[in-house]
Amino acid sequence: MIVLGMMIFIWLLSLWLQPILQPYVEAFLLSLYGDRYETYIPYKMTALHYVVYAMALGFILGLPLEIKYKRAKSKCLKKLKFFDSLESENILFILSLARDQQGYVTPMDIASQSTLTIEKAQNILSKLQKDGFAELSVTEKGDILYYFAGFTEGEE
Amino acid sequence: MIKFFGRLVILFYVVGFFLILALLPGIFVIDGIYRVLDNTIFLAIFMSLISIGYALFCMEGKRLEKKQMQRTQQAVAMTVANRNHGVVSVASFALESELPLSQCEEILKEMEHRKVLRTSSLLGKMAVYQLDDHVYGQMPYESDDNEEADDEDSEYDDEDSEYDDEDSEYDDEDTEYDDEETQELEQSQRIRKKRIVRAVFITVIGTLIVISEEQILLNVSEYLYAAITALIFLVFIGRYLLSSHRKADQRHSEHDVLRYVMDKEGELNPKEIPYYTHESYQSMEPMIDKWHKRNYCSITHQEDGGIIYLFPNYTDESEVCEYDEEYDPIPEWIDKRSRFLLFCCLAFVFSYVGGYALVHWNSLIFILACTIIGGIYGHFAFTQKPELERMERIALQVATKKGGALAVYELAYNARITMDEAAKVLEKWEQTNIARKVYPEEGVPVYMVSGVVSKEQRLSSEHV
Repeated sequence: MIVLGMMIFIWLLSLWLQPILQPYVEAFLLSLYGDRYETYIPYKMTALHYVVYAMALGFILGLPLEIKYKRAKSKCLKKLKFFDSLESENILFILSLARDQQGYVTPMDIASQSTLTIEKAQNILSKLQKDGFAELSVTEKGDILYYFAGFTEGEE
Repeated sequence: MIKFFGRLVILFYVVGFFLILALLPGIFVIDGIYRVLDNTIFLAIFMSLISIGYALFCMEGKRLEKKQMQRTQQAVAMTVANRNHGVVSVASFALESELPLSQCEEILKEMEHRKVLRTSSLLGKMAVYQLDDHVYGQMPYESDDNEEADDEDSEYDDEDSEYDDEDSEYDDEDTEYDDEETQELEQSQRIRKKRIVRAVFITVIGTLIVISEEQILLNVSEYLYAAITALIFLVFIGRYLLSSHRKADQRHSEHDVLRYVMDKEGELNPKEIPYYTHESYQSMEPMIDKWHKRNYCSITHQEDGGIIYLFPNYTDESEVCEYDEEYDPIPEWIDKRSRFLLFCCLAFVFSYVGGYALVHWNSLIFILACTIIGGIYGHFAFTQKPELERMERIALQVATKKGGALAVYELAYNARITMDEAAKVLEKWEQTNIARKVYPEEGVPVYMVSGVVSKEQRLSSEHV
């Protein structure tokens, strides 16, 4: 994927840069070759040129990057750690808070211990509840708690 | 003043000289680039070749990555359950693994389907899963508080360890030397690889500069012959690299599972596999099914209906050879892929040089070059004699330790080969009367190697 991404990036970059740079390159070549310029370099860029050179450069630049990425990912997985596709930091923070509170958490808990506002914490919690990852719980006083299973001892 | 101007002029000359020196390679480089640009069609053919090779190896890479990912996900779920008194939920798993909640749910459901986890609560995102009792009972104690406990213990251990320190100093020196040696070896290999890559890269660019479209169009048939020959070689080399990689990967996978079998004294509980080995349930299932179908191991059932595979004839002597090095399939596969891409580059160069040789030189040179390359390929692809000798030597070593009795898995583990390869060696021995098949009570055959006699047996033998 890195190689393919690099190819597309270079292709787009060359399409954007070519009209800007071409006059300068031509002026340089004209000064270098003089009168021979037209006969020596009868050359025009076509779509094939762009694709082929984007492919070549994509491989040259992308392959070492891809190899490094794959090696690092494999090393991580061997150590039982995941390299990518991670959950959002806010949700992970809410879950860690839930773990500390035996699974029960309120928007106020989150707002008091993080940079999230009460409203934003409330939104995240209600989304998690709607998706089925949390349950609603009500205290005697009528406070609403969000409950995450699996953090209470002896729970099954 | 005149002196100053004189020095200034000299300085200008020197700067001018170096500027001209720098400009000359610049002109050559620009000239080269424009020649390559003129041969874009050949570069397109070359890039197509590279892309096909890359795509072929990508499929194998995807398979390896998927297996590694599945195994890690399952092992992490089991680790979380182990830390949490055998209990795991979507939330606790997501917190530990940092994977998305929906993905965690899918993984836990899959493990529940395989009866590694069970739940008494309603199925769904809020379900709390309990790890299989037998698996949980066998797992080493692990908790979040472990680190603190370890710190306390280590204080007491420190006193004892002072006495051990003197001994360990000598060992440390040895390991340092070993580390340095391996680092030096790795570095020299890396430098060698870089040199090869650079040389091939320069050769390809040189070919792209030298190549002439007119000349090729004039002698199409010769260049076509050379290109077809290069492609045939490339297909053979690709096939060889892929099959040798698959073979090595299969060997290491089976060895990994057999190491677990040895640690568990001849028993295999499939539910434990991701925690103790580098295999996932999905990758291990066909492997163990095949072993059972070919009668390399027997099955017994636990009280809860779980399956345990039993390997015959296990004793402490079953493990003769020790293998320390860690195998990682991804870097190995990357290495093979890089090698194939380099061969793609060489095939491209060969098709031009071969065509040139056919046109300008004697065609005998071309045929000779093809024969040499074919010979080298054949030497690497079909030479198996030393491998067979190694297997037989290890089989005899294990059989000697075990008083002549040898099971298929013992040979497979010690020689680091697949169970099928080990079975083939032993079947060959049976056919040539070197060993005979014996069926113990479990019904899984063990081979009795003749000629393996203990010292007592030798001394008590009767003279005829």
